[in-house]
Amino acid sequence: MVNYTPQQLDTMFHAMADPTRRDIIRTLSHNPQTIKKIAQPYNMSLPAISKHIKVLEKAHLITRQKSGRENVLSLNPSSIKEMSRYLSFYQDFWNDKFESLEVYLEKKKADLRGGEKK
Amino acid sequence: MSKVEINKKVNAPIETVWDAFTQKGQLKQWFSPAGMTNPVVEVDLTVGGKYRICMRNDKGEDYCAVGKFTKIDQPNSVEYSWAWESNEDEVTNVSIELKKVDDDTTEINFVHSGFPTDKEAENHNQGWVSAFDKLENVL
Repeated sequence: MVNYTPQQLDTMFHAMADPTRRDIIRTLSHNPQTIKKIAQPYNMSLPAISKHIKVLEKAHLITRQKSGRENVLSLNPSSIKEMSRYLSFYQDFWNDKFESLEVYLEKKKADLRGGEKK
Repeated sequence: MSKVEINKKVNAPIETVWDAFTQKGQLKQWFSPAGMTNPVVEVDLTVGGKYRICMRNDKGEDYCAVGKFTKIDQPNSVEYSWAWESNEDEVTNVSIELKKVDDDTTEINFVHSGFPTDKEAENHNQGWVSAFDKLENVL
C-alpha cells in the first residue's frame, strides 16, 4: 500500500472538489480516453480542460501516456482507493477515542470508590 | 460515508463526561494515545476560543488537531471546528451533545461532519459519494 502524506491527500481532495474534474474521473473510470475525447462534451476551451487535467495529474489521480500523437489519460486506482480509505479513517479514529474515554471513566469511578473506602 | 456518528451511554455523571471532553487535564488522560510523554493539549473553552491537541503515531510523528469552539452550553453541548494543523484549510465540525439519563449515566451523541463528501453532496446533485460507489465497483 502506498502511503500518502496529508499534503498529498489534501491535493487529492482539492482535485476532487470540482464538478468538471469529478466528471472527468467518472468518464475515465470506464475507459482510458484521449484528452480530445474528454474535452468534447464540455463547453470549454482545450486549455481550460487541460488545466483541470493538470490538477488531476498533480494529485496523482490520473496518469498520461503518449500514444502516437495523442495523449491518453487513465485512472490511477491506488490513489482513488487511498481517498476512500481516508474517509473511513475518522470512523476508526473516533471509535478508538470512545473506547479510551470509557476506560478513563471506569478508572475514575474506581478511583473515587477507592477514595471513599479510605 | 458523509459523517461519523457515535451514540453511546457511559456510566458517569454528566458533569464528569463534560469535563472529560472539555478540560485540559482530563483530555490529557484519555484523548492522547498511551505512551506519549508530553502530549500537547491546549484548550481555551470560550466561544471563539482555540484548542490544540497533538497525537503521536507509532513512527513518532506528531499530528495536531486544531480548531475553535463555536458553541458552548455547559454541560449539555459543545461544538468546535476541527482541522489537522498540517492541513488547516480542510475544516470539519465536531458536535457533542450530552444527556443526563440518571445520576450516574450519560448519553453521548457525537457527530463529526462537514467532510468534502458532505459539502459536495449539498452543492451538487451528483455528490462524489455516489461517484465513489461507482468507482469502487470499477476498481
